[in-house]
Amino acid sequence: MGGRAPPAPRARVTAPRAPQRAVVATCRHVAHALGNLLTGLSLSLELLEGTALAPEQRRYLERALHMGVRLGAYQETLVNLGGGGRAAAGEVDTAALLRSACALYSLPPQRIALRVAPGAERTFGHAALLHEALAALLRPLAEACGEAGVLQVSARAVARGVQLRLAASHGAEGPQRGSCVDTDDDAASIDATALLWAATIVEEVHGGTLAWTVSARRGAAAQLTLPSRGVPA
Amino acid sequence: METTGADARTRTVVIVEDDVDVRETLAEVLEEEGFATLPFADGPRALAHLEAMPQLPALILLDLMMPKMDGWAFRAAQRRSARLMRVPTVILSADGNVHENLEALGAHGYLRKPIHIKTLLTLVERFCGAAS
Repeated sequence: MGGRAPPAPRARVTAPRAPQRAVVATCRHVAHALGNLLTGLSLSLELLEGTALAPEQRRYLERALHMGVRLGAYQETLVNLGGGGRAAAGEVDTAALLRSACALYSLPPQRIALRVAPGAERTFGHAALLHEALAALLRPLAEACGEAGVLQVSARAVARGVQLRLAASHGAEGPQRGSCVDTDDDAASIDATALLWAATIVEEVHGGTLAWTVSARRGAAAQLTLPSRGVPA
Repeated sequence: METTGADARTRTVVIVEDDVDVRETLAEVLEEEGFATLPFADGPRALAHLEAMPQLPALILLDLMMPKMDGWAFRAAQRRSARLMRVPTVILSADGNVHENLEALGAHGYLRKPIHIKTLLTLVERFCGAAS
């Protein structure tokens, strides 16, 4: 045979195997059940909110309402993983992905600095899973933002693919170098299960890399590198 | 003459929802606001009652995922009836893509679970008028 170049490798997207289908079906089932439970819960709590309550009782109620909102976010995760959202693998709009993950934390627009550099506009993978990985990483950073902090979210092209960087920093008069935390004690901390979850999605499913760094000067930051033509599991 | 409009006498909302807590809580919220409700745990019973009603309700709140007859089958049966097809129907669903199915269902709106009182009342008032 002549010297023909081998065909360029294509991303392999295979049909989900039976265990994966079972997991998806389980997510769909649990999401459905949670949707009903949360509807009953939120409507009941909101009915209670309209009644006369002592200040202490109102505080308990507000905490319960807030927990309901947080539960709703996890229900949304299961909806997405159950195929009710963005479960398929394919090209992903990087800016849209980052914006949707940031939107979970209800920060006003001026508290989010989002920048997608040329060449990083698209990445490849499971949008639903990437959304969950980013949400898990953004949560402690959003909490660390405090009153005036800014969530700095950026994407740039690198040799391997697209690199995403998530960090919390000062923002009262625009983003500044450095962190909005003064000591190691104030640094955003991520719980082990959330980090493992994000790492599984980025590294095992997408063949990428994830680093979570904490320093006294720069605070906490997450850096993810996603191969441009990854091989979804 | 039958009417399904936002008339004070026809501010009745039919709720078709298999989950008892959701069904009862939706009914309580609407009744607190002055609406009359007719809750049903399954589609066949709701359809039979609707066919027999001399005055049709102003709105049907319809769950999509139900065991005996799902929301799709309910809508198909409802649309086969020249009488019942005129009743506005809003879909209740936890599905993230429910808005994409509205045209296929011929529905007039949707409420995505979990449902909040303000969202529920805004939608119901659109079809039933403001509560008394």
